[in-house]
Amino acid sequence: MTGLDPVVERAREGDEAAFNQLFRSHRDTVTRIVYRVLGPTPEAEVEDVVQDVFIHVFRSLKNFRGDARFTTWLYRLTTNVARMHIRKKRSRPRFADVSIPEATDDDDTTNRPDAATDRGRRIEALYALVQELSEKKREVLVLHDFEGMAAKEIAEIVEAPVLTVRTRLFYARKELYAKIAQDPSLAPAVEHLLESLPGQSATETKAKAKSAAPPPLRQRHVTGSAR
Amino acid sequence: MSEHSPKTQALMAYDAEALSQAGQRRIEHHLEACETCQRELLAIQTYAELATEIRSAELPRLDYGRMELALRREARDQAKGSKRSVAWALLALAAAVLLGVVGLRQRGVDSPQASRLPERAPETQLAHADTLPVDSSVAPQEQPLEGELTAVAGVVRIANAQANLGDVLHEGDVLETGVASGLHGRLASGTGFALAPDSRLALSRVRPSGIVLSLQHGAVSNAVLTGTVYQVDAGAYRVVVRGTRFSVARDGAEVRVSLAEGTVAIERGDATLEVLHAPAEWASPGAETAATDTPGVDSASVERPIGLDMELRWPSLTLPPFPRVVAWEVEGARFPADALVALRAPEGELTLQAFDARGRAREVHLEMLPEGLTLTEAMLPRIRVGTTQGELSPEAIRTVVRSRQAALRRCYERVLRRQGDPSLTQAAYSLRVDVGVHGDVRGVELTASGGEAHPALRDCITHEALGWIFPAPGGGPVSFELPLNLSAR
Repeated sequence: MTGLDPVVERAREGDEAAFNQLFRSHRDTVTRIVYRVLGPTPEAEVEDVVQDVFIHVFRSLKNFRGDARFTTWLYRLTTNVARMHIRKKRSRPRFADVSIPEATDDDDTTNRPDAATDRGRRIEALYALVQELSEKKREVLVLHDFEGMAAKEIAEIVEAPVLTVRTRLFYARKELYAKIAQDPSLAPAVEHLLESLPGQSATETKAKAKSAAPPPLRQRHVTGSAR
Repeated sequence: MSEHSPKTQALMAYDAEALSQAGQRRIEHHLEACETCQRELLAIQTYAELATEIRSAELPRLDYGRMELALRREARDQAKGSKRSVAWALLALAAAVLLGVVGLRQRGVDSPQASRLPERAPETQLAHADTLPVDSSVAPQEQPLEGELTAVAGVVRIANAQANLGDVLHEGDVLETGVASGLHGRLASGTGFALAPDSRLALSRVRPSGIVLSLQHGAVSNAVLTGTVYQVDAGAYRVVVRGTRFSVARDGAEVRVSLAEGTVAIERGDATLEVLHAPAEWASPGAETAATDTPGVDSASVERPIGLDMELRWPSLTLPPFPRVVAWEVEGARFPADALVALRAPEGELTLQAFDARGRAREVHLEMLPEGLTLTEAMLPRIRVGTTQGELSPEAIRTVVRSRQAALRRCYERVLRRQGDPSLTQAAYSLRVDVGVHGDVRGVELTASGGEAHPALRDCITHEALGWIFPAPGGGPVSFELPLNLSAR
């Protein structure tokens, strides 16, 4: 095989040290993608999925022929494993009992400002809506809007034309906007948005939005067209 | 005001200031009178803000050291698998040579048996993972392997006779489960299967050179050690595999395959229809992959058979039926609990889960002894019967409880600070919550693991929980219990 990264090549041949090197080089990115796809999830669960990804890498590396970049292949596998995890989770019986986990230093809701708790809640509510999207739309939306990948890279990962990726992204967002507009659990986020505008109370801003120019919040990387 | 569909693309461009000045003004003008578009624009901006927050959110800190250990273990397993594969290839080669000699001799005496022998020798099958012959006469010198039943839930049958935990599995056996029973079998080290309820499976071939299972109906989950030649026949389809974990479900002519690890090929007749790389799902035309109606079959999950790793025989765990328990889960394997369940389990600490009819689970922590263990009522945490009639989703409960979690903790810390009672730090608590038809909390009861909860803590938490508002449950009032893990920081 030609043109293959020597570390990948060695790992393919069963070199444990090379595989370990691959693991260390890519574990942060894989963790980030898994976390973005799953949404707010207990660390132990994220850890299981990330480990599962690397076990799949280990078992499948011999099938990697170098047709795509190693990272493209890895991210494709990562999104596949995360998707299967979500499917599996949905198909299992759910616990009606809710266990309140012991607080850790990272989960100190008492001392954290309310804003942070509110933010967590808003993100959870958004993810609940994102999980309602079809798998294909969700994948593209998460990779583009939450992970910040370019449409071309996503196209390679999901093995679809760039135009298809852009179309899926547009319809995913459109569907989400409609859900956000109707979801009462995200109403506080809208309020928060309005209140965050300089010198405006929510009521005043709403009135202003109705009668004049819209609020000046801009997020071009998200609301703009797919790169 | 006119009702119309918002022009999302135009609003996105407006929000991104990507329009010409005239375009921006046109949209602004439209927005002044259109509430639908105002709402859409706010949704666009809300989403933009949340997406930014998600992108900047701190990532979880994972224990990569633990992962490295697991991966090293995997590397060792893989190495073992390839050694085994080489050993089997040599064995098969020897078998092929012997077979050739036998075949020549048989041809010499013009045996009708010899004329039926396939031209292809077993080593070819090993080299290319081709379809295995079900007819074991191709390698008459090869001794069949003996497997073992490692778990039995309810009444299961082998060759029409009731089977028990530990029974030996032979080539040619036909295994059957009823609608509320299941079984797990180990066929070789690291290789075995779990037969779902209402299934019928024949062990057509169980030999060192390869294993063939024929699924007649129902579903079978499989775990296969790397290097093992393994095949599941399901009607017209064959699922050919080496070193993987997958399940095959069959309902008449429809077949579904869920692949959790490794690679399998789906074949029909002489054609390879598809090669799947995990994780993946496949369905024959007409069958659905996402959901299944086959009882006990979860196409998205592949059950891990019990006891594959036991080099020494594991002790037996017996789970008698208990009122209100409808299913058990042990080591990732699920068993219906209507009848007695017996399974092999490793010595030492073991956690099992007991599910009630509504999918609620209780964890049971056991210490498995070398002589085995039978679960008793005393070991099983209480699963409340209650007067539960309505439905309230776990997500709805979680959302409300999480939003009030800080207040519960404040109760605990305040009482701990004021009372200084050390027993507070040692107790585990359970909170029973009764939710009325309108979602209001009608009753709350806090209990501690050692008996009654501290009065001050009970009062504070009761006061707090009585103020919770849930979405109105469908169908009537609902009661549930929350385990509370409260500890001092």
